[in-house]
Amino acid sequence: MTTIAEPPTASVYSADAGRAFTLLAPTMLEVDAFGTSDHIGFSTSCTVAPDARSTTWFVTGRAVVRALSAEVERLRDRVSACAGLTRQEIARAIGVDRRSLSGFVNGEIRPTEGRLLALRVLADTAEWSSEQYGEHAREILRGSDAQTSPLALIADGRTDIRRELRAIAEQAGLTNENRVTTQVRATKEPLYVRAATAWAGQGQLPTRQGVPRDDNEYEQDLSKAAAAVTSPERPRRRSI
Amino acid sequence: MEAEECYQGADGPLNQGDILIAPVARVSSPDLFVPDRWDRLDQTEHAVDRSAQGESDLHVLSGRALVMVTSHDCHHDKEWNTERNRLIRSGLDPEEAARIAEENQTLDRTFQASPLVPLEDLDPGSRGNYRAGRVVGFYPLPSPSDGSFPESVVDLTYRCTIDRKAITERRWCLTPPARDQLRYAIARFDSFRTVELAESIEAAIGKSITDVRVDTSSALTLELVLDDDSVLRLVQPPTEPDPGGRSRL
Repeated sequence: MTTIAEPPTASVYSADAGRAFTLLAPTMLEVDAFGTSDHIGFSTSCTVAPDARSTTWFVTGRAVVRALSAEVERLRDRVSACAGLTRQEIARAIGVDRRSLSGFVNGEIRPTEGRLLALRVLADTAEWSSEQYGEHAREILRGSDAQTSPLALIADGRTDIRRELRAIAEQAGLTNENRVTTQVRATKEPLYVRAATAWAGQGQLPTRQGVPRDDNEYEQDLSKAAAAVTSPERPRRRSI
Repeated sequence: MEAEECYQGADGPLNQGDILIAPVARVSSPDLFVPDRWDRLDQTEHAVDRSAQGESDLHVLSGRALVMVTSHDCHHDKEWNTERNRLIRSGLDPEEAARIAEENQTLDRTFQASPLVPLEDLDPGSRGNYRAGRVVGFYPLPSPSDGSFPESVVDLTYRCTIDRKAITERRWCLTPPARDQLRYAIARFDSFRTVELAESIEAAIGKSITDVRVDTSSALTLELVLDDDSVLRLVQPPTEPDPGGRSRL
C-alpha cells in the first residue's frame, strides 16, 4: 500500500494493479464511480502519487456524490434565480464548460474542491449583487470585458469581489441607494461584557405573557379632574 | 440605597426597572461627537447614504449595552390586553384569549430603556451628587451582589426604543421601593424638573387652606390655595396599577 497523504482516512484501490492507496480527504474517497483521478477530483491540497493520476479507480460511497450533485444543482439554480446568469456563464465563472457543469449536476463528474468553492462564491456573490443592484445584477456580474469581468475573477479563485462589483456599478451609474458604511470605534470595555459573563445561565429572558388589566388603565377619563377645577373669573369681553 | 434593598431577581414579563443586555443606538451629526460618558455605548459608527433621496447622510452610533427598562409595565402589555379583551368580547374564554394573544407576534414588542453608565465615567467632582440622586436625568444604582457591573447611574438623557426580541440577557430588577424612586427620577427629568415641595411646605406653616384644585392638564397635580392667595402645588406619585382581570365585559 502506498501512502499518498497524511492523515490517512480511507483506502482507494487501483482496479487494474490491485494496489491500495490511502488518500487525504474523506469525501473524495467515498465515490461510487469509475474514472480517472482527474474526474474523481483530487484536492489541490492533496499530494497524489504521480503514477496514481492516470490510474482507474473504483471507490465506494454513492451518497456523497448524490449530495454533491444536489448541492451543485441548488447553487446553480440559486445563481440563475438571483442574477439571471445563463448556464454557460455559470460554467465559465467556475472555470469549466457547460457540459462539465451538467456532468456535475447529474453526478457523472465529481467537481473538484476548487470548482465547488467557485460555485459557492458565485452563488453568494449573485445573491449579494441581487440585493444591491436588483435587476442590474447580471449586467454588473458580467462586466464590460470578458477577460476582466467579475465572473473571470471568480474563475481565477477570488472569493470576495464586492469592491470590483461596486466599482463597475459606479461606472455604470448604478450606485446602490442608501448604502450603509460601518466602522467600529475603539472604546473602553462596554459594561455588558462583564455582566454577560456573570449572568451566564442565571438570567431569564422576559416572557410574552401580559398581565390582564382593565381598559381604564389605558384610557383615562379626566373629566372628573376637570370638574373639580374652579374656573378663574375672567373679565367679560366688551362688545364693540 | 444598598444593593440588597435595591435589586431582586428578574422573572416573568418585562418590568419597569429590569436590568438587561440589549442593543442601543442614537442619531448623531456628521462629526460623530461622543460625550465621554457614552464612550462605552457608541461602539460602532454608521453612515447611511441618502444621496438617492437628495438628502444629506444620516449618522448613527450604536452598540450593545446594559440598560434599564424605563417604560411602564402597563405599556408593555397594552396591545396584548387590547387583543385579549377583543377576543373575550368575540366569545372566547379568558384563558384561550390570553393564549392566542400571546402567540400573536404582531402586537407591540417595544419598550423604552436607558443605558447604565459607570460612576467612574462621570465628572469626579460631581460623583457625590450623582450618587445621591441630586442630578436631574440620572438615577443612581449600587453595584449588585454578583458584581456584574460597578456602581452606576441610569442615564435617562439617553433613551431608546428597543424590540424585546433583541434582549440577550436579563438578571436583575428593581425592588418596589427602588422602582418608586426610578419613577420619581423619570417624572422629574421629563416634566417637573425642580421639585421644591419641602421649601414650599415650610413656607405654608401657620396658614390655612382655602381652596383645592386639580390640574386639568395633569391629574397628578393638586393645587392647595392658602389664605394669603399663595398656591402649593403637590404632585401625586403615579401608583402601581393592580393586576386584576377585567371587571366588566
